[in-house]
Amino acid sequence: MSLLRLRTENLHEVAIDGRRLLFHVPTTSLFDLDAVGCDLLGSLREREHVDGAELVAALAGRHGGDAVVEALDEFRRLDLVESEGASRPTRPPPPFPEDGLTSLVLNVTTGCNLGCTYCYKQDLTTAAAAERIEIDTARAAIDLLLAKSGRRHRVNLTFFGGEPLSNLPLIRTAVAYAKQAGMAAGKLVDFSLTTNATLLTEEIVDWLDAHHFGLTVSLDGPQAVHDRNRRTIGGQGTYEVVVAKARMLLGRYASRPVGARVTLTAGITDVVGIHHHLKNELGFAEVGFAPVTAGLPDGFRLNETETRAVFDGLRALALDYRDAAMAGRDIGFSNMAQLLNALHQGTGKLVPCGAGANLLSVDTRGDIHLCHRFVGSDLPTFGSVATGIDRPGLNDFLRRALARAEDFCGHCRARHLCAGGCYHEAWSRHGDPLLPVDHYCDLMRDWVDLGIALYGEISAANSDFFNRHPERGSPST
Amino acid sequence: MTVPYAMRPKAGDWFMRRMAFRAITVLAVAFLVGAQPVAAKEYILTSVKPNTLVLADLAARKVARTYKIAGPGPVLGIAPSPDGKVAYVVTNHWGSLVGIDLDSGKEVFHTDFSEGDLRVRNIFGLEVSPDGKEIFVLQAPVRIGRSEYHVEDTRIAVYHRDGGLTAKPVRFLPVPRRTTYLLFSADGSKLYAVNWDVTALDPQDGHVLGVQKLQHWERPNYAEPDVFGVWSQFEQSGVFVSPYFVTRTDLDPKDPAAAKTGLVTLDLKSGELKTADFENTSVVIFSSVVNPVRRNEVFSVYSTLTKTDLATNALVKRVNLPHTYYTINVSGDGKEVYTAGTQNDIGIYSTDTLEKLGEIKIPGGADQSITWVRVVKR
Amino acid sequence: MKHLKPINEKARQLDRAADAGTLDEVRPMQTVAGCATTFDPGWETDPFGGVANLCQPMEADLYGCSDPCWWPAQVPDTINTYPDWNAGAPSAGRDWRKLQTVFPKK
Repeated sequence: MSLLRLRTENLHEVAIDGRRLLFHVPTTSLFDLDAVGCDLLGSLREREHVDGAELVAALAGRHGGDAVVEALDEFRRLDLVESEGASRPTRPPPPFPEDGLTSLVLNVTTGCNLGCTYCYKQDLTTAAAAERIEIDTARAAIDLLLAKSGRRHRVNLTFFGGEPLSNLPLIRTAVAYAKQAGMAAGKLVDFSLTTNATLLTEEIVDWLDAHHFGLTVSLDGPQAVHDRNRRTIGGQGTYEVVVAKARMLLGRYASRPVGARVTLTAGITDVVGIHHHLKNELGFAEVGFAPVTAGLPDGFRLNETETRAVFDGLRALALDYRDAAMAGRDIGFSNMAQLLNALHQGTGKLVPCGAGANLLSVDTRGDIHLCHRFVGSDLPTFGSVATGIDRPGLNDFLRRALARAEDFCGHCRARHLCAGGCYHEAWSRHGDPLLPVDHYCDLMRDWVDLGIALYGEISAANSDFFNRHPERGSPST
Repeated sequence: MTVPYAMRPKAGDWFMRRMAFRAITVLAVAFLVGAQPVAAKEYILTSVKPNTLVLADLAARKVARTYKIAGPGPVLGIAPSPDGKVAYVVTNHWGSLVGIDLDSGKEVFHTDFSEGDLRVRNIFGLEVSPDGKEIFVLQAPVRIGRSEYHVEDTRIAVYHRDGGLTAKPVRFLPVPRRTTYLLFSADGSKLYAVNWDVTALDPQDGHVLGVQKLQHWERPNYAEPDVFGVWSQFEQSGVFVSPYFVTRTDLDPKDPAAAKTGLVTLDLKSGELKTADFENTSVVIFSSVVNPVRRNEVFSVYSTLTKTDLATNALVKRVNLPHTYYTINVSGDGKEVYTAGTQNDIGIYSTDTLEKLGEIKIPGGADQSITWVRVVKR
Repeated sequence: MKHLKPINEKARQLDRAADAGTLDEVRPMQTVAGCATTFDPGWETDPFGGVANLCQPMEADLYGCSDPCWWPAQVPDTINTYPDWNAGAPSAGRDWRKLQTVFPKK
């Protein structure tokens, strides 16, 4: 037997309750290590290179030589151990399919009836000055989604803005067209929308319900928190109106669970309190948190201390989530639910999101963007609904995104769950969407470790939980 | 669709499930008008799976030609043009109408009934106008919703023969639900739609010209007749005939006389509808044909071949067949009947003695199933 | 694998692949199995309570009755849902062995 090397980049251990969990990074799979495996791992960590025969001999007394050889063989098969000098075959990453579009975010208006301080939309206008999408452009975008989704049976159309409900007539027409065109193409179209809720009426809610819209309401927490930033153009807080509308919505919406989206900015870090208010007092099915650490000036975004406080809050909420999950309850915490779902499925990402690959956004003029966050920015577009998708441009972007994950993320254990972070956040912070988001890498690794530990605990106590609550977590915008 | 169309969609029962032995048949006059070639021969038109039209030479007792139709089958209704040049067939799981030029073998007409979220199927009714210019197709549409079906009103789609390979209907006619047979009067002025009763429609706009009762006949001590409605095969005599089964309400159900078999005839020239029982029900009969020469003779088929007399309403003779056949047609000189459908062969029987004169085997062995058997002169 | 006990589904797939010696090809395998059975055609009796008046032979009637959905519960719907059910079996008498059970589509 030759000299062996532990490939530390392919594994990560998390200890909980006397168990040693082994996280296999390349495949996002999770194992419980038995005593033999634990000792073997410990020995392999002692030195850079370990002599195989000596290793087996050293451990044979305690576990039996056969068991040690077996465990070593299993480690090898998982690429956790390699012989010195062994060649390492590299597999090229799979190509992005040309017709893999699954989601389209349609910007129906640049106008909004509110003036939230932190809004990232660079092209935001008042409702009166809004640029609105023409129905023909919307139809062309829908046709594009259907045409470029290959054999996928189900696609998603998300309406965005500004405040999308300020262009409801267009949405109604677009939905009718999407259903009809979808039918002709043999596909089902799902609809989603994030709204500030102020324009909801019972009739509108019933219409959205009838069309099974996935709804998210932007609500930042109790009144004092919400009214700090979510204001009318005149500067008034909107909490009372929004909550009244939200209660009406939650009281009658039946087709799908409704989520709340919270934006965390300077001074707003009480994650647990906000969750309690939105979930338990108002009755949202789940709450997702979007910490703003980039893209806003100093004093408006979360600074370093506040970012840590937010993550501490997210951690505390995650522990509550675990306790409830072990008892079979879901407290609706989107951020952790998404991570746990990724661990449950064993999904590994080579890029941080589907932008450019299976998700695209169309602005009010019909130009195609990586995602909705880039609409109004000066990041170049990728074609238009009239001229078609700029496939070479997108392929080039994705190729560079894959390279950044490899070059920068390197051996980070969270690389297949984080993959370098949001392009828009990178662009906001660095001016370059392909420079990875590196200001909270440590926090991200802690978060992933937490997810692994919680997954191990929940699945041991209540293995049914993840199957009964599939796809938790509303898509974040 | 900008074609004038009077029917408004409303929810109704699911047509397919209600299709029992309840369609009413009406006789139609032969539509073979127009000049025939001097040495016109008679051929049988039938089909076999998966999607092959078959032209059989009756005199030679063999298949003259087969026409493989593109796409999935099976062929259901077959309606030749009056000049014998084109065969219009319903195919593609009852979702399309195709016209095959019997000389060149090419597809000269094509239309798909479904469009967008409207899924449309033909259920048996298929007819060509006596002047050969228009083709009438019975259609049952369903609108497919996201999670529900909306059954829409049945209709007749009318196509012009020059519609080509992307033909579209030139108009729609409203038609009562449960219609199966569509039969033209000899002079082309009436289109009979056989449903519960026999409804005569104006072929231009579908307005009702008259109704002759069948299901709703007023016949004391008799229940409603059960009539099968699948196969059009009336062209030789111009008289539509079909068997019916009925029970007598005044007799003990165990009494053999309580169940009667009869024949309903519709003369497509005169428009006269007649019904007459001929026996206590003893065998099942699926379809019938009138002898064009000795016009009182009717031949019926299923697992037996039955000869009855319309003048006396009596059973004349009955023989066993080697297997079940669904359909039957007759030679122009009245000497032979042809049993067809189900499997792979066409039986040839003497109209005089009912003895078997021969058979035509269709190469390949595939089943005819419920396709129609027509006689065409060309 | 003996010393690494799978906790999530991906790990279970690796485990199965390891046992099957196909570790390099870990792919989720999903089989969809329904429980439809087809009853024998000719299940009905003739008007006289026997079978003598049913189609003879039974195969002569199989497509005649399945094509128009005569037996909606007993055979697949070849008009809309399973159009290819008898595509490889144009002669019922000869080819009936090729007819397969159908399963619900995903």
